Amino acid sequence: MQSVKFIEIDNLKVAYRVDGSGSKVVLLHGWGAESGTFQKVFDTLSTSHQVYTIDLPGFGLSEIPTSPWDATDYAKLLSKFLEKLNIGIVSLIGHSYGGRISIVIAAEEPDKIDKVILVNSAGIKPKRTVKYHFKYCLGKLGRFTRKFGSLGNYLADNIANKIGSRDYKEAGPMRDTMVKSVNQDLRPYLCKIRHKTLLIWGENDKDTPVSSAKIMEKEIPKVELILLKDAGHFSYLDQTEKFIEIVRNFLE
Amino acid sequence: MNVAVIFGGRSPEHEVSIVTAHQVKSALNEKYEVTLIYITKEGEWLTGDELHELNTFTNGCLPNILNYDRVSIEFETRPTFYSIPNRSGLFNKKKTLDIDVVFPAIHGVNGEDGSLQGLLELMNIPYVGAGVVGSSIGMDKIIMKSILSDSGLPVLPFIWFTKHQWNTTSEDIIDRVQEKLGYPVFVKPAISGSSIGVSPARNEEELYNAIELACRYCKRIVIEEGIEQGYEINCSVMGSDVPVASVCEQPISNSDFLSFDDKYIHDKPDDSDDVSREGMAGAQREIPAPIADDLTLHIQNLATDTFQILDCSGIARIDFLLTAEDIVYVNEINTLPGSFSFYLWEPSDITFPQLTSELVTLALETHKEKNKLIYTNTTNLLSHASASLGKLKE
Repeated sequence: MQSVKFIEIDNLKVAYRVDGSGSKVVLLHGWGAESGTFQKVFDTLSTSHQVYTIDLPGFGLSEIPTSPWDATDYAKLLSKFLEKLNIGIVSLIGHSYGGRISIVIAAEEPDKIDKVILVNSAGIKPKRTVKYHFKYCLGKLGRFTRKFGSLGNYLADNIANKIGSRDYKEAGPMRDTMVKSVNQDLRPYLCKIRHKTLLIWGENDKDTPVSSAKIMEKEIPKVELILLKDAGHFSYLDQTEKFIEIVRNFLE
Repeated sequence: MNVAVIFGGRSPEHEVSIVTAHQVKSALNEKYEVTLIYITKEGEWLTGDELHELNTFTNGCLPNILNYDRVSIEFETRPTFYSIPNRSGLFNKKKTLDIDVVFPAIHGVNGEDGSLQGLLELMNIPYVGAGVVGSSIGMDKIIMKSILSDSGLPVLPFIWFTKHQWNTTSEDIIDRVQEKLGYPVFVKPAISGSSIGVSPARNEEELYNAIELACRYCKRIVIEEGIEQGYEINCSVMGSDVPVASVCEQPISNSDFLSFDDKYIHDKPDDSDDVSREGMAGAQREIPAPIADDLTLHIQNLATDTFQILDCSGIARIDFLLTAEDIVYVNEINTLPGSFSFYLWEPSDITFPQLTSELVTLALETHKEKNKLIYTNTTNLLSHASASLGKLKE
């Protein structure tokens, strides 16, 4: 993988890598990941394309945003990144949270984008199940018990540990950004995406289920959905070769 | 005698430490009882028999706090190690961990940098390797280079600055580098092990990116003159008052310099059960280094001098950089070298078990010497001070 470079955007140092030549592609990683997660995809794809991959602020080697961000803020950053480096029109490959960013920038700044590939993308608020409502009430109860001194706090911590998602617990200083982001429903943006769009989904995905993909398939105008067998949320890692083949065909 | 090997830790070299610890454990087992204490990446201290199996670490997930006995240190009234059972029950009670010597096997920050050594000093437990001062100086490239060059040992010309200075006066710093050092240069975080965050720079753009990268790992940055077409020689030193040097080795690098990948990631044996040749022992190298005898001797002398100047004890590996004309520079010191450099002592007919046993003996001697020193006055000075204390009252 190419050595890391840095660029300053709105007082944040952003780390990125670039390699190869040809039509331009930007890889956007998911929550809790970093550009290195794409290493195999980056190395292979850069033999036929000019590939950029960014450590999103708050992840990898990039600095942490000073206020909580949502996907719109990240999309603005990406737009400035493209301008500052004079990259021109790019195709996007966005995984999970990176998919959110791709959806927003494609809808808001369509002239900057060529084609869009959403990989096990986030952005659709899941239907609330009984389990969700149970956890939600338990969470409220947990916050309520904090009023009862140290025993209450102990109970609340225990509850938080049991019901909080792993990403939430590990988010640290990025926790507010995460809360702000997951509460942002991107469904209204989908119909605004005028680009050729490809949805690649690992069919065993438990974090962003195939049902989200079906909704996106229905609402994005020029779209195609490909389900990958024996692949989960990180479908591009589970089925790397197939993934790259599909991406290459689509970008041609 | 019970030896506790402490390993893992909140350090980028966590995995390397696991390999080192299991090598050390196997070597110690011939002569000693071994207790393993594993510090998770989150900083939890665990113990238990399962840790002795390398499988525990290679089967995907690393051990976590839910399934292992926990280690506690209680300061009432003398600091002591305890193990707290994972499951509570009638016969599962908190036990004292009887530890005679600690064998730290943590590389990098939070272990090789004097912090763990400080804890063990407070607990008054003998431990293998350099003390607080030697460990922390060895970890800090700026302080180490300053002391060595003060003592007349050859180090490459360098400049250093803080992350804050970089953020406020980056142009001045780039000018300084270009004036004082010229390209190529090496940019390093002052504190980091295994070449993490280190990169070469051949022009201004590369310099900018290299400094930004280093700033992610440390708030103090050192930049030193780069050697083109140079090579690296390493030498291990063991002992305390009269240290001795091992044979020299020449690591074989895949790129411009020996990076983390070269040291630990390339050419690992496939058979994961055999740890004896993994980690630093598994990297590519030539032993003894194919250099002239007088050069070897020169390097060995520099190695023992470095060891003493930096107040080391036990074992260390000193890495040297040489120009194509064989001019030698001290590059860095590892006070807790990967695999404890056992492969450098084998040519001198010292096996790994003998090496670890020697290190345990040295630890006990150092500890005994230390406890002979006078730390307190036996008489209560205050009882004779009534006159002067009286004055204070007035």
